[in-house]
Amino acid sequence: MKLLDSLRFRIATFFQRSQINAEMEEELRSHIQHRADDLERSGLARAEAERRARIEFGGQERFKRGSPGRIRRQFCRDSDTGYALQPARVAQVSRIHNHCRFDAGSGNWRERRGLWGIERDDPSAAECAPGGKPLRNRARKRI
Amino acid sequence: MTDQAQILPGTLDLLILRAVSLGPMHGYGILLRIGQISANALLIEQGALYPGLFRLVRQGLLKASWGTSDNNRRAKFYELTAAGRKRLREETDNWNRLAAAIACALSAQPEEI
Repeated sequence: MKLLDSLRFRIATFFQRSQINAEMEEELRSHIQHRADDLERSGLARAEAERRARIEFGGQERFKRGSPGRIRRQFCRDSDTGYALQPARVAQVSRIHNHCRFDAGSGNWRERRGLWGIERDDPSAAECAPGGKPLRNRARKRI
Repeated sequence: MTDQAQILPGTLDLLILRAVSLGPMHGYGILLRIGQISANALLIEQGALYPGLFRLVRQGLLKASWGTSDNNRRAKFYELTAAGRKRLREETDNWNRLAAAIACALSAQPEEI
Protein backbone atom coordinates (compact mmCIF):
# COMPACT_ATOMS: atom_id res chain seq x y z
CA MET A 1 0.00 0.00 0.00
CA LYS A 2 2.87 2.28 0.91
CA LEU A 3 4.58 1.43 -2.37
CA LEU A 4 1.37 2.10 -4.26
CA ASP A 5 0.98 5.49 -2.57
CA SER A 6 4.57 6.36 -3.36
CA LEU A 7 4.13 5.32 -7.00
CA ARG A 8 0.92 7.32 -7.27
CA PHE A 9 2.66 10.36 -5.79
CA ARG A 10 5.59 10.04 -8.18
CA ILE A 11 3.31 9.77 -11.21
CA ALA A 12 1.27 12.77 -10.08
CA THR A 13 4.50 14.70 -9.47
CA PHE A 14 5.77 13.84 -12.93
CA PHE A 15 2.65 15.11 -14.68
CA GLN A 16 2.30 18.21 -12.54
CA ARG A 17 5.91 19.35 -12.68
CA SER A 18 5.31 22.91 -13.75
CA GLN A 19 2.58 23.43 -11.16
CA ILE A 20 4.74 21.92 -8.42
CA ASN A 21 7.72 24.04 -9.42
CA ALA A 22 5.56 27.17 -9.38
CA GLU A 23 4.22 26.25 -5.93
CA MET A 24 7.74 25.67 -4.61
CA GLU A 25 8.86 29.01 -5.91
CA GLU A 26 5.87 30.72 -4.34
CA GLU A 27 6.37 28.95 -1.02
CA LEU A 28 10.05 29.89 -0.83
CA ARG A 29 9.18 33.46 -1.79
CA SER A 30 6.57 33.49 0.95
CA HIS A 31 9.13 32.23 3.47
CA ILE A 32 11.53 35.04 2.58
CA GLN A 33 8.76 37.62 2.79
CA HIS A 34 7.78 36.41 6.26
CA ARG A 35 11.39 36.54 7.41
CA ALA A 36 11.75 40.01 5.90
CA ASP A 37 8.61 41.10 7.78
CA ASP A 38 10.23 40.00 11.04
CA LEU A 39 13.48 41.75 10.23
CA GLU A 40 11.58 44.90 9.27
CA ARG A 41 9.77 44.82 12.62
CA SER A 42 13.15 44.66 14.29
CA GLY A 43 14.01 48.02 12.73
CA LEU A 44 15.56 47.32 9.33
CA ALA A 45 14.44 49.15 6.20
CA ARG A 46 12.28 46.98 3.94
CA ALA A 47 14.88 46.67 1.19
CA GLU A 48 17.60 45.74 3.62
CA ALA A 49 15.29 43.31 5.42
CA GLU A 50 14.49 41.54 2.15
CA ARG A 51 18.15 41.42 1.18
CA ARG A 52 19.12 39.94 4.50
CA ALA A 53 16.28 37.44 4.42
CA ARG A 54 17.44 36.22 1.01
CA ILE A 55 21.00 35.87 2.24
CA GLU A 56 19.90 34.00 5.36
CA PHE A 57 17.82 31.61 3.36
CA GLY A 58 20.58 30.97 0.90
CA GLY A 59 19.03 27.78 -0.32
CA GLN A 60 16.56 29.56 -2.57
CA GLU A 61 19.37 31.16 -4.49
CA ARG A 62 20.85 27.72 -4.94
CA PHE A 63 17.48 26.42 -6.06
CA LYS A 64 17.16 29.27 -8.55
CA ARG A 65 20.55 28.54 -10.04
CA GLY A 66 19.39 25.05 -10.92
CA SER A 67 16.98 24.04 -13.63
CA PRO A 68 13.33 23.41 -12.70
CA GLY A 69 14.09 19.72 -13.00
CA ARG A 70 16.95 20.02 -10.56
CA ILE A 71 14.78 21.92 -8.11
CA ARG A 72 12.23 19.16 -8.25
CA ARG A 73 14.84 16.44 -7.79
CA GLN A 74 16.22 18.22 -4.76
CA PHE A 75 12.80 18.37 -3.20
CA CYS A 76 11.96 14.81 -4.12
CA ARG A 77 15.16 13.38 -2.76
CA ASP A 78 14.74 10.77 -0.10
CA SER A 79 17.93 11.49 1.77
CA ASP A 80 17.89 12.02 5.48
CA THR A 81 17.64 15.70 6.23
CA GLY A 82 18.50 15.16 9.85
CA TYR A 83 21.93 16.63 9.34
CA ALA A 84 20.18 19.87 8.52
CA LEU A 85 19.74 20.22 12.23
CA GLN A 86 23.12 21.55 13.10
CA PRO A 87 24.43 24.66 14.70
CA ALA A 88 25.01 27.24 12.01
CA ARG A 89 28.75 26.98 12.42
CA VAL A 90 28.74 23.32 11.46
CA ALA A 91 26.25 23.87 8.66
CA GLN A 92 28.52 26.47 7.08
CA VAL A 93 31.48 24.12 7.12
CA SER A 94 29.38 21.33 5.72
CA ARG A 95 28.24 23.38 2.76
CA ILE A 96 31.79 23.54 1.59
CA HIS A 97 32.27 19.81 1.81
CA ASN A 98 29.10 18.49 0.33
CA HIS A 99 29.85 18.77 -3.33
CA CYS A 100 31.16 15.30 -3.89
CA ARG A 101 30.49 11.70 -3.09
CA PHE A 102 32.39 8.53 -3.76
CA ASP A 103 30.78 6.19 -6.27
CA ALA A 104 31.88 2.72 -5.19
CA GLY A 105 30.53 1.24 -8.42
CA SER A 106 32.79 3.17 -10.73
CA GLY A 107 35.49 4.05 -8.23
CA ASN A 108 35.13 7.73 -9.08
CA TRP A 109 34.34 10.85 -7.14
CA ARG A 110 31.16 12.44 -8.38
CA GLU A 111 29.32 15.65 -7.82
CA ARG A 112 26.87 15.39 -4.95
CA ARG A 113 23.50 16.64 -6.14
CA GLY A 114 21.69 16.98 -2.84
CA LEU A 115 21.94 20.10 -0.77
CA TRP A 116 22.08 18.29 2.49
CA GLY A 117 24.25 15.28 1.88
CA ILE A 118 26.87 16.22 4.38
CA GLU A 119 30.22 14.53 4.75
CA ARG A 120 31.47 16.13 7.90
CA ASP A 121 34.96 15.36 9.12
CA ASP A 122 35.66 13.45 5.96
CA PRO A 123 39.24 14.27 5.05
CA SER A 124 38.75 13.05 1.51
CA ALA A 125 36.19 15.81 0.99
CA ALA A 126 39.09 18.21 0.87
CA GLU A 127 39.95 16.73 -2.49
CA CYS A 128 36.64 17.79 -3.94
CA ALA A 129 36.49 20.89 -6.04
CA PRO A 130 34.19 23.51 -4.49
CA GLY A 131 32.89 24.39 -7.95
CA GLY A 132 30.69 21.32 -7.84
CA LYS A 133 32.01 19.92 -11.13
CA PRO A 134 32.23 16.15 -11.50
CA LEU A 135 35.69 15.01 -10.55
CA ARG A 136 35.66 11.86 -12.64
CA ASN A 137 38.88 12.74 -14.41
CA ARG A 138 40.48 14.76 -11.68
CA ALA A 139 40.57 12.59 -8.61
CA ARG A 140 40.29 8.87 -8.22
CA LYS A 141 40.27 7.00 -5.00
CA ARG A 142 39.91 3.35 -4.10
CA ILE A 143 38.31 2.20 -0.92
CA MET B 1 30.99 27.37 23.30
CA THR B 2 27.59 27.31 21.69
CA ASP B 3 24.26 26.84 23.44
CA GLN B 4 22.89 25.02 20.45
CA ALA B 5 22.69 21.28 20.73
CA GLN B 6 24.02 18.74 18.29
CA ILE B 7 21.09 16.74 17.01
CA LEU B 8 21.09 13.15 15.88
CA PRO B 9 20.41 12.57 12.21
CA GLY B 10 16.84 11.59 11.48
CA THR B 11 15.18 13.76 14.08
CA LEU B 12 14.08 16.54 11.73
CA ASP B 13 10.91 14.67 10.80
CA LEU B 14 10.02 14.16 14.44
CA LEU B 15 10.50 17.84 15.21
CA ILE B 16 8.45 18.93 12.22
CA LEU B 17 5.64 16.55 13.12
CA ARG B 18 5.67 17.77 16.71
CA ALA B 19 5.68 21.44 15.67
CA VAL B 20 2.79 20.91 13.26
CA SER B 21 0.86 18.86 15.84
CA LEU B 22 0.52 22.05 17.91
CA GLY B 23 -1.55 23.59 15.14
CA PRO B 24 -1.48 24.11 11.37
CA MET B 25 1.45 26.30 10.40
CA HIS B 26 3.34 27.54 7.35
CA GLY B 27 7.01 26.74 6.72
CA TYR B 28 8.50 29.82 8.29
CA GLY B 29 6.20 29.43 11.29
CA ILE B 30 7.31 25.82 11.72
CA LEU B 31 10.90 26.98 11.81
CA LEU B 32 10.10 29.54 14.50
CA ARG B 33 7.99 27.06 16.43
CA ILE B 34 10.77 24.48 16.56
CA GLY B 35 13.07 27.17 17.91
CA GLN B 36 10.44 28.17 20.43
CA ILE B 37 9.62 24.69 21.72
CA SER B 38 13.31 23.78 21.99
CA ALA B 39 14.11 26.99 23.90
CA ASN B 40 16.17 28.07 20.87
CA ALA B 41 18.54 25.17 21.36
CA LEU B 42 17.85 23.72 17.93
CA LEU B 43 18.56 25.52 14.71
CA ILE B 44 17.30 24.24 11.40
CA GLU B 45 18.93 25.49 8.27
CA GLN B 46 16.15 27.39 6.50
CA GLY B 47 16.69 25.86 3.10
CA ALA B 48 16.62 22.33 4.51
CA LEU B 49 13.17 22.56 6.07
CA TYR B 50 11.24 22.41 2.82
CA PRO B 51 12.64 19.14 1.49
CA GLY B 52 11.66 17.65 4.83
CA LEU B 53 8.14 19.04 4.58
CA PHE B 54 7.81 17.86 1.01
CA ARG B 55 8.91 14.37 2.00
CA LEU B 56 6.41 14.21 4.88
CA VAL B 57 3.61 15.32 2.55
CA ARG B 58 4.64 12.67 0.08
CA GLN B 59 4.52 10.05 2.83
CA GLY B 60 1.01 11.17 3.68
CA LEU B 61 2.00 12.30 7.17
CA LEU B 62 1.25 15.96 6.50
CA LYS B 63 -1.23 17.66 4.22
CA ALA B 64 -0.72 21.09 2.78
CA SER B 65 -3.13 23.79 1.71
CA TRP B 66 -2.75 27.44 0.76
CA GLY B 67 -4.03 30.07 3.13
CA THR B 68 -3.31 33.52 4.51
CA SER B 69 -0.86 34.08 7.33
CA ASP B 70 -1.06 36.53 10.23
CA ASN B 71 1.09 38.86 8.14
CA ASN B 72 -1.65 38.78 5.52
CA ARG B 73 0.58 36.92 3.13
CA ARG B 74 -0.30 33.90 1.07
CA ALA B 75 1.40 30.84 2.54
CA LYS B 76 1.22 27.08 2.40
CA PHE B 77 -0.07 25.68 5.67
CA TYR B 78 0.76 22.20 6.88
CA GLU B 79 -1.28 20.03 9.19
CA LEU B 80 -1.02 16.51 10.52
CA THR B 81 -2.95 13.69 8.92
CA ALA B 82 -4.19 10.69 10.90
CA ALA B 83 -1.13 8.77 9.71
CA GLY B 84 1.05 11.68 10.83
CA ARG B 85 -0.46 11.62 14.31
CA LYS B 86 0.13 7.89 14.54
CA ARG B 87 3.73 8.25 13.35
CA LEU B 88 4.35 11.05 15.83
CA ARG B 89 3.12 8.86 18.70
CA GLU B 90 5.33 5.98 17.60
CA GLU B 91 8.40 8.14 17.09
CA THR B 92 7.87 9.90 20.41
CA ASP B 93 7.67 6.55 22.21
CA ASN B 94 10.83 5.37 20.45
CA TRP B 95 12.64 8.54 21.31
CA ASN B 96 11.62 8.41 24.96
CA ARG B 97 12.75 4.80 25.25
CA LEU B 98 16.08 5.67 23.66
CA ALA B 99 16.58 8.76 25.82
CA ALA B 100 15.77 6.80 28.98
CA ALA B 101 18.19 4.05 28.01
CA ILE B 102 21.00 6.51 27.27
CA ALA B 103 20.33 8.40 30.51
CA CYS B 104 20.39 5.13 32.43
CA ALA B 105 23.66 4.11 30.81
CA LEU B 106 25.31 7.46 31.45
CA SER B 107 24.32 7.51 35.11
CA ALA B 108 25.55 4.00 35.84
CA GLN B 109 27.97 3.71 38.78
CA PRO B 110 30.80 1.18 39.14
CA GLU B 111 29.16 -0.40 42.17
CA GLU B 112 26.03 -1.13 40.13
CA ILE B 113 27.92 -3.34 37.73
